[in-house]
Amino acid sequence: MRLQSVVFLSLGVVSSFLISSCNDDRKSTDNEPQELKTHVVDSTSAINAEFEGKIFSIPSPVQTAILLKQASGSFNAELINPAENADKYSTTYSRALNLGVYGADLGYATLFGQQKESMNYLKALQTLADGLSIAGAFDKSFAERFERNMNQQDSLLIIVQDAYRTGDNFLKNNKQKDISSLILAGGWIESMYFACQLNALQSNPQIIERIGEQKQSLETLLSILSGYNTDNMNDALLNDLNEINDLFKEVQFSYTFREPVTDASNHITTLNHDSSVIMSDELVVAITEKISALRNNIIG
Amino acid sequence: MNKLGLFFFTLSILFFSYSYSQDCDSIVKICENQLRNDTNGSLFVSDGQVYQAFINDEIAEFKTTFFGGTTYRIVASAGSADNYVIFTVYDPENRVLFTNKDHKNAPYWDFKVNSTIPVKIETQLDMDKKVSGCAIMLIGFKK
Repeated sequence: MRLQSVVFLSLGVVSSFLISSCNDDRKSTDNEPQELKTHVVDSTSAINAEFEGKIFSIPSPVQTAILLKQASGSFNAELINPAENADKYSTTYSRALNLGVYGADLGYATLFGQQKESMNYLKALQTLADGLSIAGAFDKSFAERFERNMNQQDSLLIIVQDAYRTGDNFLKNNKQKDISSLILAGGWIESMYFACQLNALQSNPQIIERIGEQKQSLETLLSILSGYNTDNMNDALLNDLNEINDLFKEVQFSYTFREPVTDASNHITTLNHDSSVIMSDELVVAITEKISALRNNIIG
Repeated sequence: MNKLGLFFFTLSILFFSYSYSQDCDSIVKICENQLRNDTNGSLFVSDGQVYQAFINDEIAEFKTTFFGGTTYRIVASAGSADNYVIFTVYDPENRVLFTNKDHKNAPYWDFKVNSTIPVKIETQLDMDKKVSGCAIMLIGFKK
């Protein structure tokens, strides 16, 4: 009994210290999202975080949106998930997936200078983030920064991606990697949907190449979703993605090494290899159909 | 172990845990600054993820794709000093394309990518400088 008392006493003393330290910390950084700072109280949260190798890296949906802007030229409002749908996503699963979807939509709208659409997506993001306990990443200060930089496209993309990174960091530190994985999946699926649909409207070799280049990203995504399949909630999604992955196995990637050139004074290396993607028209159509069905199922 | 010993043992474990968590958060901020530290005036957009590991003598590895027509920045840090982390980039045939070990463990490096390439990135602590701790990596890109 006395032994327990000592342990509880020491825990109490240290907890008090930790909480008071956190409060001090909070005072010094009032500009930062308050909710996200609470994870510091859970002092062991990051101890078990692993690097998790291959299961981590999915390309940002914004990257695909940049290519689509270069390749397709004009904004297509038919492609995006209407922001007003945000209210109908009531489960953690659907909120997380659609937070990823809306991130891609916001990136797409921002790149094309669609200010009204962008503001609507901001509200949609806040609604979903609220339901996922990462409201701090998309709070009032985020919206204010976004509005202040409305005419600076590059700054807007940085602000949005910073917010997603803040949310990602919070979820990972709080052992909610299952939610973080679904957000990534939603973003990847939506950006693939954009690429496939734009190519279906007007065939474009650049876009087809970018679709084929997603082969490794899909394998990575499957690893993530399998690894964080809490209560088998990802089973149906995994089934659909595995079917798409079967199609991707037919994509051929050719690679020829050429010596990279490093400019040490400017901290930059130029990769000079040659590479290309080979996939049949039928394969592109089959992937387009599967992606479209999956995406429409996600947005409801 | 007597009661006082147990008290200090518990205290030290919790202090260590707390310090570690604080450590990781502060390292993320160091990496964020490096991601924005572009002398050419253009800005890198984060890929939206934080790559975090607690490593000692092992090598952390992950695969990603560098898309053609893009310049990427890899930032790695494990603390206040710039040179704790060694990172190495391999091509699909496991050939070394770059290692910051050849550049005094530079905390960030840019990669101009003309044609898409799947790469493997290995990260480890430089054991001469730090033997264990939280390591953070961020990836940014620009058009």
